[in-house]
Amino acid sequence: MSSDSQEPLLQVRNLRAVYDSARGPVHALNGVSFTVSPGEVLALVGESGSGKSATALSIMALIQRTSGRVTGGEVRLGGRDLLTLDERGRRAVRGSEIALVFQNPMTTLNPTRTIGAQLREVLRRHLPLDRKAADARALELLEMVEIPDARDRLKSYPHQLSGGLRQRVMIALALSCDPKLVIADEATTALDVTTQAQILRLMRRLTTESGTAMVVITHNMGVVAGLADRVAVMYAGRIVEIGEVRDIFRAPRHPYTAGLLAAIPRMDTERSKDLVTIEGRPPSLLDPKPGCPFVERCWLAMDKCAVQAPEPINPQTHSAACWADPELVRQGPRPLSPELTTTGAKELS
Amino acid sequence: MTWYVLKRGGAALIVMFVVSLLTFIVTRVLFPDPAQSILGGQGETVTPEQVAHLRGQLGLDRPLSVQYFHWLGDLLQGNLGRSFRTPIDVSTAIYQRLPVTIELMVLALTVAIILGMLLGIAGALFRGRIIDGVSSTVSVLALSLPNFFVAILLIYVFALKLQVLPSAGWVPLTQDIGQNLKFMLLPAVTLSLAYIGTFARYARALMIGVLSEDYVLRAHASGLSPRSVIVRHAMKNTSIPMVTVVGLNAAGLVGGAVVTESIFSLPGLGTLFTDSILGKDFPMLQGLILVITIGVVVLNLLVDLAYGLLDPRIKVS
Repeated sequence: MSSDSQEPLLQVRNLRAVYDSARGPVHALNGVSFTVSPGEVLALVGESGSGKSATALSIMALIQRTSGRVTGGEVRLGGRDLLTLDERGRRAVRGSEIALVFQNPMTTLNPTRTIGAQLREVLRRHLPLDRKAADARALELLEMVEIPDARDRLKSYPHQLSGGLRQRVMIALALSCDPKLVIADEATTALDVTTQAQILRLMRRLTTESGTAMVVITHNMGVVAGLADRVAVMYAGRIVEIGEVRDIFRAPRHPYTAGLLAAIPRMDTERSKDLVTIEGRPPSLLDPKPGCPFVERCWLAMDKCAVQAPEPINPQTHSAACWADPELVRQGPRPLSPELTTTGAKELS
Repeated sequence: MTWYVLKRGGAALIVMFVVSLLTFIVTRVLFPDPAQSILGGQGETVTPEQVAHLRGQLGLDRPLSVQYFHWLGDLLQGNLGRSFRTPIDVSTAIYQRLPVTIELMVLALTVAIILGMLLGIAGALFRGRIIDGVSSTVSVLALSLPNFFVAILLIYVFALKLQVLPSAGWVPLTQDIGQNLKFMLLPAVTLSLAYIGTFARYARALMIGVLSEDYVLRAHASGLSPRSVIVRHAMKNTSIPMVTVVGLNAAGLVGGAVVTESIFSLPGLGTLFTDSILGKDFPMLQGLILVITIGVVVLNLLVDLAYGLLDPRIKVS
């Protein structure tokens, strides 16, 4: 492993995964590539089914536990390819080098065991601690995530804690073994808005203090703006655009990103005006068609788009997988006209 | 927890009272005129005077409500009356035979819980593979074979052909444990078989449910070994609802015990029960029904309490 800060911590290259369903394999990930540098916060955004969680589970090599499997690609963490490690090696990485914070804190803690027991178990799995030392460390962790009456809480069962407190416990659990990377999969979606903000601030502060990198999976653009350094936009199992947060907010290069940004309601939006939406639905992932997956919903679609997939993104810079002129994308979404979608015509301006 | 115990205990007391009332009514419906039955059973010509005399002796000429409270009063003092058939107290007879039935049930239940859970959990862990298929086949077979048939099969193989185990008889546990278990083995296996199948089916379904829970995936994501995930997370959460399954089935176990005891001539409550029905021995039947029902109620109470101990969520509610 290199201590050079330029070297990415996590390198995901051309990751492919499928979920087996009754109607055949669902192609959940179709060549996902991105990098995360040490200490960096990368946001992974996209709508439901775009492959955000599949990406997280594939990186953890846990996707096979949810009836899916990785079919190709690389996940390099500090030089090692996690996908070629044996199960024993992967277990040593999980929870200790990469930790996952799940979406729903109500269901991710075992209801029949105390908070303390569940923290201690993970601590002792990865660190050479005896019971007493593990107890002390567990207490420290609960105090670190600002849980009141931490000592009593160690003996509490999950149902005795509120959702916000439980998610704090999950964060303590994730940070317990000083991981290099934390993947937060919709970590605040299940919480109410005020609690969301508190949890996000806490995560940001703790990871900044410890220099831990984060992959934040969300469909909330507010979370992206407030938390992330870079953002990767996912669509139909691909990353369609990646770049610095401010670059992407200022000048999106993929029509889908432009559509997402236009859909955010603003304080100065007139109440009577309808919110902007992206027409249509994502394509079926059962049998992916050649060409750009966004073609049917794109107001800039050209003949070429339907037959030839655009060049994949370059994870190092601000780039998008799109054939259209970036200047036209930047001007924002236009309504689709039926005759345009069928003929696949060109510029509108 | 104390409040929980009191609540459950109180409910059990009410059930027991209702049970005593029902027992009384049912036996009176079955034997509307016990005096006639007793005298008629002796094969001589009976005069109406004799019947009336016996009714007076037994207090059967008084109103039913008075008879009930009289009986209940005796009951609370541990007096269940005397058998019509043999010169023995009902309570003594039951007390002598109770240990046999309890031992049979405990053995059968223990075997069924251990083997059923193992079979079911193995099926769940290797879901869709050969082990699962074998486990499912064995458990469906076990629960669908009638227990008298299994008994005959076992007797044929182990007692007649191999001659390694006795087919009938009994030695008290206190006299010789080895001999006692030898006599108990075939009956216990016979009785447990259907429950092995039932418990295996439940354990498999419950375990599959638990394995798909988020906290199990989370435990894997924390890098725990599959063994600790299964033992510390999945098994515990599977065993909580299993307690209910076992409790519900234990009630039906009594019926199975009656049949099994008859086949293997074990001197337990089952054989006493069949003898009493055939002999129209209504005080004995009354006592037996009462003891068995109260036994089931107590068992359910114990299940509820075990549930409270195992599941932390119960304590606060």
